[in-house]
Amino acid sequence: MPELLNLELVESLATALEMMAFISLAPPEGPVVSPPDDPVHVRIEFRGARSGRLELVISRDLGRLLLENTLGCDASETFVMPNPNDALVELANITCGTLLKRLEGGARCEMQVPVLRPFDAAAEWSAFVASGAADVVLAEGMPVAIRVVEG
Amino acid sequence: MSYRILIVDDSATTRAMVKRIIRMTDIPEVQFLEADNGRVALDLLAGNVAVDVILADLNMPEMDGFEMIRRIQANPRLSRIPVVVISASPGAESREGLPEVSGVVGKPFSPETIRGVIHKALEVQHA
Repeated sequence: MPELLNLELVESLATALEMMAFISLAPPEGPVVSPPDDPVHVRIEFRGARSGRLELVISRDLGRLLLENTLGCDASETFVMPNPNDALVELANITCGTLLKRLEGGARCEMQVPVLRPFDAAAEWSAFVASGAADVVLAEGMPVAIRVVEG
Repeated sequence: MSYRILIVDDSATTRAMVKRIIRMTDIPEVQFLEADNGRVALDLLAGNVAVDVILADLNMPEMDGFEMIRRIQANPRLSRIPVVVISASPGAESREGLPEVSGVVGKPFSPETIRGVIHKALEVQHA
């Protein structure tokens, strides 16, 4: 993945997390990063001025934290806390939209509805982050791997 | 005066965030209706429910926001309801390909932006 795209991608994730839930990103402490606990894989495809897919491997614990930070003190009688998976799907949606705005300005790209699936860390993590194919950052100490595959 | 706001978004997280922001405004007595796609929203509106503002996402399964807004605006009973688009899609804020709407808010959004478009839409609707 080209370096500029990496930078834009991580900054887009940082913007989404900061504005949604006041969560900041930090670089990992060493070159080898363990996979997140209770991970899921979220994928969103886009077509238009630029085409490809954005993928996240992220912990459901971060989804819970995201919800607690944004909605935790909602005391209304009818309030029901959404599922952490829903928060992570929306995070992928917002990160993808932010990235495409950064790369293509206002040019229209069609974004598909994100798809979430369980992630088998033991079998899939090494390949997902191999050879710089993905960026790994820490959000509140939890690893998040993110990549864009174009084409 | 009480208001009824319909939030159409496939993300329960965003619906909850928007509701929380609106509850924290000075708008008294807001009743919320929710739909997770355009089809469900149109079914709700077909039930003769009076709605003051519709907040709508664009990318949704089953029926997207573009199609839902077109159908609302083609219906004389519904066409006067202000529609505010809330979307992560690039191009939404420049309104490219969008039918005429009262406002567009990009995701991620700030509470101030949501409050501003809601106030404006309610003022226009009840002018």
